[in-house]
Order: sequence, then structure tokens, then C-alpha cells
Amino acid sequence: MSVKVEVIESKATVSNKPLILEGFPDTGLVGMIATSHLVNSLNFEQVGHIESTYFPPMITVHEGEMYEPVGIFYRNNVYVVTSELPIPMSGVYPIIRELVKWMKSKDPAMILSLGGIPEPERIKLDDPTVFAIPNGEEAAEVLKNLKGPEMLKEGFLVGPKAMLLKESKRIGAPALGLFSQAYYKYPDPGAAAKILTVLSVFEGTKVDVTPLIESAEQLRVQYRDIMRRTEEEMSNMEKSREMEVPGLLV
Amino acid sequence: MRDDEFTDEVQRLEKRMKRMSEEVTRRIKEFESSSGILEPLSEVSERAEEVVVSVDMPGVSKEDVVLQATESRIYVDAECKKGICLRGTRGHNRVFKRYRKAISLPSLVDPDKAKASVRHGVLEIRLPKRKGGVKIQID
Repeated sequence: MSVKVEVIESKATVSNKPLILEGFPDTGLVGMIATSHLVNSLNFEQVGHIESTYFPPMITVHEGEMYEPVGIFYRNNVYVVTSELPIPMSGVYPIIRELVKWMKSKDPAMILSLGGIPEPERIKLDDPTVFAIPNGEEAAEVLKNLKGPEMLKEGFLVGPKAMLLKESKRIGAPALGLFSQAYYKYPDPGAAAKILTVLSVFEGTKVDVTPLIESAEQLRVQYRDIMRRTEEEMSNMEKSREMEVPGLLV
Repeated sequence: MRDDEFTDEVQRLEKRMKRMSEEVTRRIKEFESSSGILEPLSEVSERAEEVVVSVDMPGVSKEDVVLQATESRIYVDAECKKGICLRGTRGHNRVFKRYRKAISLPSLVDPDKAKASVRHGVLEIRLPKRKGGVKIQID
């Protein structure tokens, strides 16, 4: 079977220097929970999806309607790429390359990669910190206007989000990674709410996080299965390296 | 062993592990569905002097947890009084009111000296490792 990755746009959209958010599942499912809340609360419309032989052959059914498990949504000059499925290790390079190529074709004002960063003492934190990784000067300028995030000065980032920042830099698309301190293996709606609070400075991503906080217990249980499968892929990628300190650049 | 034989062997192992993982997931779902008891997510980390176990049990407070430990395993049983309603796969919602899990520990511990706390539905247990062995003289 030949391997395939394709970004398919099923509905035409007209955008001008849009924001593009990415929320693939990883640490604490932070990006996935944040983008899912955004898409559902603001009634984003599904306008495309990623088709790939790296993903299991499946569809999502919700309230009798069929959805793609790796969807692209659009509303008010904002695209959101979100997924029920973690990207398997073998698919990270080809899927992210294809996705970033598509993102660049939209001439984005900024690509925002949303996720969690594992914090062993998360249980003690009421207000997790959001760390930022800009992929260049343009993203660093945007970061200056955000309230809250701290620049990640040292550390590793592992997985699809690392690849997204690297690949977007390579092809000249501005991207900013925003990662909230989160539980490594538990779905973390509190960390997702913190990321969304940071994004409230952008008109198209302003959303009330109260319902997300109120339903946190429910979501933590509901997302256990996705977390289990995501954790398997995180192990394959040596994701726990994010808790280590780099040694080469001293 | 030739390169292609090695690659085949690795692929066979990967498939076998995947099948086992799928089997475990299926059994967990069958158990939860038939018993009404949820298997919570958990994490075990081994440190120099202690083993730290955490268990994610949304909706649970410390009064609801029954915790037992031996030198090599812990058993968690907790009631979630308010109940957690989960969307079912065929449109049948179901309310779960209990978590239960047995967790194997990576080292022998001293269960009498264990300490536990619950915060925001996350149970954390710190179990000091059992001291033992003999001192070896270095020549």
C-alpha cells in the first residue's frame, strides 16, 4: 500500500492573513481540548480534513452526522486544525510537512501551535504558566503583545509541534508555539483554559472558558481513551525528554 | 541476522505489541461497561528514595478514597458521589460512580510510611522505598 498524506478542502474559504491554530493531541491533550472548545463554542464550520494512510481508517459520528477525525475548521478569518487522533511517530514528518505547506498557502498572519508541557508538580499549581516558542522575529513580535506567556529559554520540545515550528521556519511561515504547564498523562482542561485565555487578545479566538472549567471533571473522564492512545505515541517519540535539560549548547 | 530479517522481526514485535495494547483497551472497556466501575488513568514514577503514584479520579475527594498498599502493589477504590455521566457509543449515556485500580510498583516499598493526598480529584501517594541489602566494602 502506498503511503499518502493529503490536505483536502471540502468547502471554499476566503481569508486574508488568517490565524491558523493547530491542536493535535499531546501532553494533557491541552491543544486538542482548547481547539475543540473553541470550535464548538464559536460554531466553526468544518471546511476540510487531513487524509492519510498513517491514520486508522475511521470516521467520527456526532449527533447522527459524520465528521472527519482530523478536521480543518474555519470561522471569521481563523482556521483550526484539530484531531481525535494523535499523529503516529512514523507519520510525524510527512503529515506535518504537508500540513505546513497547506498553512503557508493560506498566507497566515500567524500559525499558533497549542499544547502542553509536562509539569511533574502540576498537582500543586492553580495557575499554570504558558511558555512560548517563536520560530522567528515576526512570531517574537506577536509574543510581545500577548499577556502572560513566558519565553521558553531552555528545554526540549518533542513531537509534531516541534516539527511544525521547525518546518514552518524552514519554508518561511511565521509560527508561535504556546504550551501550558500540564499533567503529562491526564487530560488537563485547566491548562487548555489557560491557553485560551492567552488567545483572547485575538478577535477571532475570544471565547468564554467558564463552561470548559465547569465541565472539567466530565471532560477528564470522557477523554481518558484518547489520552491512553496519545500516551502510547508520546512514548514512541521519547516525549519524556521534555523533562530533561539540553546539554549541547552550554 | 540480515538487515531485512531484523526489520521483519521488529515489525512482528510492533504488531504483537499493538495487538496486546488493543486487547487491553478492549478488556478495560468491557469491564467498565459490565461493572459500572471506571479504571482511572494512573502514573508511577520511581525516584531515588521513593515511589510516587498518582491516580486521576475526577469528582473524588479524600473522604471517598479507600487505599491499601503492600510492599509491591497498591489498591485504590473510590466512590464518586456526584457520578460522572459518559456519552455512550450507541447514544446510551451512563453514569459511573466508582473508580477502582490495582497498581504494581517498580520497587519494594515500606507501606507503613506511605503518605497520600487528594487535590482536584488527583490522588498522590508517596511510598518510601524499603531499605535493605548489605554494605559492600570497596577495595
